[in-house]
Amino acid sequence: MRSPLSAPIARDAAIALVIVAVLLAMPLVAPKGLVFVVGTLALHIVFGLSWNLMFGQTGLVSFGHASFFAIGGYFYALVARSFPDLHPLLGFAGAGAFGVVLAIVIGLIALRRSLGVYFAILTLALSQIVYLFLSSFTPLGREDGFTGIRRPVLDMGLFEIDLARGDNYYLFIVLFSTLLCAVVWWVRHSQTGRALRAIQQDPERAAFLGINVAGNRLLAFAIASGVTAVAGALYGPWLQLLTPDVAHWTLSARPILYSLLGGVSSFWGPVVGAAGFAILEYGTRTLHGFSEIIIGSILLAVVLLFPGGILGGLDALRRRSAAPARTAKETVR
Amino acid sequence: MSGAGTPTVPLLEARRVVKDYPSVKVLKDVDLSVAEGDTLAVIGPNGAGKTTLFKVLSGEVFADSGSVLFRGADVTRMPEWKRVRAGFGRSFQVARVFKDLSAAANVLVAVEAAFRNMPPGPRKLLACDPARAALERVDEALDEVGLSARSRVEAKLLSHGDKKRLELAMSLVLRPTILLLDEPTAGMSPADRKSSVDLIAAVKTRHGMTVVLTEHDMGVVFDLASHVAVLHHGEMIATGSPAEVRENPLVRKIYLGSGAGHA
Ligand SMILES: Nc1ncnc2c1ncn2[C@@H]1O[C@H](COP(=O)(O)OP(=O)(O)OP(=O)(O)O)[C@@H](O)[C@H]1O
Ligand SMILES: [Mg+2]
Repeated sequence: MRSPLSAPIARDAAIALVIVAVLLAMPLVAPKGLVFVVGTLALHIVFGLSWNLMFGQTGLVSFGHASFFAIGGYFYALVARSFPDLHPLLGFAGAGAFGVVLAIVIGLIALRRSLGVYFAILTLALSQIVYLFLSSFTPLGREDGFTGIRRPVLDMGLFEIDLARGDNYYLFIVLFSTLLCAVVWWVRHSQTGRALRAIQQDPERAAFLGINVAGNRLLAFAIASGVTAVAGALYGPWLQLLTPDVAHWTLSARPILYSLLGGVSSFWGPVVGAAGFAILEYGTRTLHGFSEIIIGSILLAVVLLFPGGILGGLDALRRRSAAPARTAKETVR
Repeated sequence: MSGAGTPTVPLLEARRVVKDYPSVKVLKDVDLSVAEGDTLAVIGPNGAGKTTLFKVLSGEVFADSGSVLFRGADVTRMPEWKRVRAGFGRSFQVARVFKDLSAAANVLVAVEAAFRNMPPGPRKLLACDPARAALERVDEALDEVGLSARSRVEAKLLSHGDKKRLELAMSLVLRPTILLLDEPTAGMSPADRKSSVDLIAAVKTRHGMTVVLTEHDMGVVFDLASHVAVLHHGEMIATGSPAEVRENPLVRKIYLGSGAGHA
């Protein structure tokens, strides 16, 4: 028996399958430049989804999400250079673990008293510190960036996959990102996710149901940071270069824009938002100087016309057209 | 049950509780004692400090001095969520529900918070489906408060009375030992009020809870309460059985004379 309270796993898995199939087929049909954009998009989708796990699901506003993306990236690059024999999957997992631990330490201090705009400002300050650190710390390449990050060879026991060959790393990114998105989906729809949603709606009320509000907020912050750190780790070998710009506040604004554009209250919101953003950027890439203006105006128009983002707007339209039928059914019952 | 003369520890006790806000002294040395199985009504005019007392008892705010004891153990500085896990349930003067969630989802959150140690099976865990026992408990609770037909309605679309009922359902699934209800019938029509009183009386007997409530409607108070405490300007001026309190000359003068209700 399916309850209306059950998670929409069949529907979402089907949607994900179609998207992944399309992405995996990209290199067969699309030019190299577009494949690069799409690979980056896959990581940005993870970036946006993990941010919205904090915002849309839990009600935490972070202005410094990019710092965890950057920390994961530099962590992996440093580990891969220092321990060339380490299995790359361990390196990626290590970056995630490092992000989680760091988020817990920061969260224990920052989330204690400061919420709302204070937490936002604290995370913004944190991202500035990370940015300054990366720009001035010599072993990490300072302003020139961390160069020569290799795409590793995956030792799978019976055989090896050289991610440096052909489109292998692209395919790897698509699959790994899918896994990370699945993690976010799972947290969101789990019992913990429902508690997080309750906290987002009314933390005081949630506490009076026996929910540990501070602990769950910390958990959401840690998971989001860990997931985005892994995405950052994957980003290094994709570009084969990391500059301090990955920690810049303008990058921290990205997941916010993705979520607002796509819709914060749906799982798919940031996916739609990131894709829409990428399409706009790709479509206007030759219009030097105008690109920002066009993207900015479209963003503004969407947010003003549909406060719930693209998916929120579609949902409202669907509801409006379904409304008369539904009332009729309700009265019969 | 203890024999006459054997002193028993009250279930919930407030001792010389003081709570000030920057501009007002709200609670002045308030003492309160609730025995297991009692239904205690805290009455008093607007601004007497009833809600503040509830906040102190439930842990939403901490007392400036004095102490709160639960089963004889000091819980004065215990955060609210731990008190809930220890057996406190609470409703708010203005019903608070998770507005964007359906009525059923509201109750599910409460059930899952109460069922912390009862995860779904491994297959269900992967699919993220709530445990069957949890869903059954949700249906049961909605049925108990008469909201079954509205289970899919978003909480913000519910009527005032239904929100209060939903809140009660959320508190009930926690199976609290003691339930604090802040004006459970405020703003209700006489018919709604009657059905709420019956509901509270019914769930109290069914689950064997201890209830503390505040109420302005004296009809409700004398229908439900086994004990009454009168709070006036932050001071507890009388406690006892409804009949005793009704006959108390000080109460008659201050409270019943104020036109806030009728006895
Ligand atoms: N957060 C607060 N800050 C400052 N003053 C407050 C605060 N909460 C309550 N008060 C004041 O404390 C006094 C008691 O308020 P409280 O809400 O406890 O009264 P009450 O007995 O519940 O009244 P009512 O019957 O109207 O609900 C009032 O004078 C109120 O203005
Ligand atoms: Mg009050």
